[in-house]
Amino acid sequence: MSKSSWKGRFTVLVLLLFIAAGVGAADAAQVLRIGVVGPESGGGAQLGQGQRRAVQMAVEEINEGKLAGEWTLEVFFEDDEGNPTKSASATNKLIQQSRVNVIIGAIHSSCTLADMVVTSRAGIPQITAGSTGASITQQGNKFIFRTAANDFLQADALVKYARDEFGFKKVATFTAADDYGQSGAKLLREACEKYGVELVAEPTYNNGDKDFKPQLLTIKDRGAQAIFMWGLYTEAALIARQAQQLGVDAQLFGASGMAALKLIELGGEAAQGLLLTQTFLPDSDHPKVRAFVDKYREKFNESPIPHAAQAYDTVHIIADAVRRAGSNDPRKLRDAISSTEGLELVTGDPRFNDDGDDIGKRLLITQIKGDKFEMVKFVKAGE
Amino acid sequence: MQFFLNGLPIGAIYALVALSYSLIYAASGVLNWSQGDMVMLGAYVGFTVFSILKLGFTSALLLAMVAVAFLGVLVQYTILRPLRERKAPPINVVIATLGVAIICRNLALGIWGPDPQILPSPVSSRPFSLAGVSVTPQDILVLSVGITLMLILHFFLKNTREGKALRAVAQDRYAAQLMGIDPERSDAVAFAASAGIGAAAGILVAPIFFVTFNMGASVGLKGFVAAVIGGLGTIPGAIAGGFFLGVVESLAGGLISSGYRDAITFALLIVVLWLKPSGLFLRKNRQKV
Repeated sequence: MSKSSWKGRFTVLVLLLFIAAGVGAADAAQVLRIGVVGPESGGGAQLGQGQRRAVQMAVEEINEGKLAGEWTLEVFFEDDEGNPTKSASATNKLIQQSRVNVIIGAIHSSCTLADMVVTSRAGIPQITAGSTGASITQQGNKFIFRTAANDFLQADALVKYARDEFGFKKVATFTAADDYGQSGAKLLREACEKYGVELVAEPTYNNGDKDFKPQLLTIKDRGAQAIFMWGLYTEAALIARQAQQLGVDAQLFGASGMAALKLIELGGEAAQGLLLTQTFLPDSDHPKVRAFVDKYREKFNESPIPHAAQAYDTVHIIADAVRRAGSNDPRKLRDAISSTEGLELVTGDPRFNDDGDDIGKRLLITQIKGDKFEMVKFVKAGE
Repeated sequence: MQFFLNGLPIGAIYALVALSYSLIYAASGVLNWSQGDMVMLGAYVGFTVFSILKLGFTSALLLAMVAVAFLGVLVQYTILRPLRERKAPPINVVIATLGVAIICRNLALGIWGPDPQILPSPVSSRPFSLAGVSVTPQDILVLSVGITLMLILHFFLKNTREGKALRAVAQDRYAAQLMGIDPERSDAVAFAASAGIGAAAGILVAPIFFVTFNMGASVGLKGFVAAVIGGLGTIPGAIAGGFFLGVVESLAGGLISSGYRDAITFALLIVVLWLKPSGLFLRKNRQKV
């Protein structure tokens, strides 16, 4: 046979393949249905709104750019008002009525815990982009994944940073006497043990307390070089101020729960230099973050919150998983999500451990300087 | 020692609030539950004068005291007087003052919003060491302004016509009336003085605790407890009760357990009432007729 006839047959074959592929896609019109649960009213409304907007933006982007291969994403939203009972019934509704293949949500840890019971029974994968509570991924539930930086990773990174960068040997924790604070206290204690840092005091406070001096004096007396706070911004600001008033010269650390601009305003001079972990900083110059923030600002006329960035990444993880799985079967999706790798997204390059926690998260250690949080260091979580 | 000293400035605040309860109670026999919210409003007025009108701390203090004192008179004039004229039982008057407290709180929420605000301190909050304990100029300011106000109040009650009239009404409302004293007028004076003292407490506490719309609830409750520990209605009792409570809180929080500080404080209140039912500083025979 002549060379030219080989070439001719090859061209025909390639053309046929292209046609076949095109016909296949047009025939199936394959749809992946995503359910989103979150607080769109009530106290956490700002967080739920951020999640909703970011999901919408990601879905449009993926559908327009055909980023999920031949799959088209369709999304259904339900409001849980931050109430676990409502959250569980919203999840049920998404699964039973909207027949979703995967769930994103919720924001409040208590809601996520309630939803997990529903999703694991139905065998539907669930990814929470907002809940940090450590217990969520400790239930042995194979259908839960988390793209929020969990408290474990934050505590670990903070203690490690304090030891490696400052050489601190004696530290104290100062935590809120609620679920959030006490889970943080436990994780900080474990991290201190792991890194060989001595924990000299572990006082707590009640939310709404105004006077933190007695506890701070105890911390001062025991010679702590650093104080790890776990709570919300008003109390953290008061602690910073009163520490300064008492002449406590320990370095202050905090977790993402207090990372609000109000912390800087209320803390004033005393909050300067405070170090805290965050997963997302809107004015970072990382190219992925830039692109996301610019687009979000243009679309919604406001800066995205960390929950939005994590929700946005979550949709991209799902799109990638359905493309690789080639199926919208929830079990195959679950397996595909758990083997996610090599995606470079806004908050990191996601990889899930056996518990379902994202260990590829880019954790940021930030420091209060002037009137904003400044990047100090990128930390690969879990390293 | 450090714990003891830390209790003094906050004790001075409690003492001022306790005074404001006791003054009104002594004069009119009414518990005014809106006292805590006078503290809050004082702090907000001070914040507004200081941060928005950019006037100095002293003018903020004086303006807030005057403005809130007027509000105190308004409460007396619109709530206490009409209810008393209509022969409302005392408990209903107390409930009405609770209503005033809630209205104040909601107004503040509407005007100044839910986020805490800062009233910057006129003096440094950097500590210096004094005989081995650290003290801040802010603490000294709170103590000195607090004690000055107490002295002014003392002078007012002992040496002025209005003050003497107020004490006469406190001793025996009916007899005072027979002697030509207008008890309603004395009530108004008591409300004005109490509200003014509360406002001052608010401004003193604001640089330390921030200004929030619900700050009145906790400061008000602690001030009331201080007044009861000292003996409700007595001036020295209110002052001693305030300092006592501040120091006990600081010691309980520092030496026993910070999480249980409030529980310890209130347990102590029960023990005090058990041992001395009318308060530490009130003699039983001084009961009013």
